[in-house]
Amino acid sequence: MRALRILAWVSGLAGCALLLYTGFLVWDPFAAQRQHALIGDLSHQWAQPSQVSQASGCSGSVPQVRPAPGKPFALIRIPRFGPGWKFTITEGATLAQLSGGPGHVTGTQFPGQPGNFAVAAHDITAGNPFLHLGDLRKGNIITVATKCDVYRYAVQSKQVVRYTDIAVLDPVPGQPAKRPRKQLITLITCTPVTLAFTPYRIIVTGHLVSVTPRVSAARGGL
Amino acid sequence: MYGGQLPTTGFSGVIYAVIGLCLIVVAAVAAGARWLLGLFR
Repeated sequence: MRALRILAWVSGLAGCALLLYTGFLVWDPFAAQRQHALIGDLSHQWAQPSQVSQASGCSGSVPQVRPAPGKPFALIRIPRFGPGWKFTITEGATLAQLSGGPGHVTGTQFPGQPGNFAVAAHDITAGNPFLHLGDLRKGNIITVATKCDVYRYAVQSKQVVRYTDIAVLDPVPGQPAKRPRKQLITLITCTPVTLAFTPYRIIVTGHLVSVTPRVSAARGGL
Repeated sequence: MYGGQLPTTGFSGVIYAVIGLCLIVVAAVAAGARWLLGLFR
């Protein structure tokens, strides 16, 4: 009887503690703080002139300096997700790198380069950046600001693929041998939205519609 | 590139929820057994 009582109390308390911990991970109350720190880092970087040119570090539309893994280098905005929706894009898309927000899939192109600029992010946790990725429709605008330029992409397609279908990352998606001419963006997150691992990814692809100089580049403002 | 896979973007903490639920079931079974044993004393 005493052993059963102890077992019931210990397992019950441990079970409740684990459920609360899961809730804490999903809620992720420090996500905004991490994102705020990344935005501060990006603002600091953009305020610094780089070695590639004299004044603002902008010597052309193609980025000259590769960002270090885990470092933010761009800011993504998707107006359909609301006027306040903005996240930094860090270099790399490992679980640790995605814990701060969206990450650039290493090995794919950067904004300003012909090919495919792939960005992955969590649907749940880390501020739920791509929770509503499936709501994007053809023609919706995706804006990516780098130190020098603002790239506007229009959504052109949406598909669900298995996690092994890495052809969506090709410079010309699905055609690895083809030389890219267009500049694309590919946004990736898990689907369906679930609290478990899923083998499916939702892929939203957009094409570049315009590039404009970032007005406040010289001042480093965001 | 990421071991031939697309990046993992799902929630990895589900294992904690599963273990937590299992423990709660164990607790309920233990409490139930204790109650039943008490009935037949």
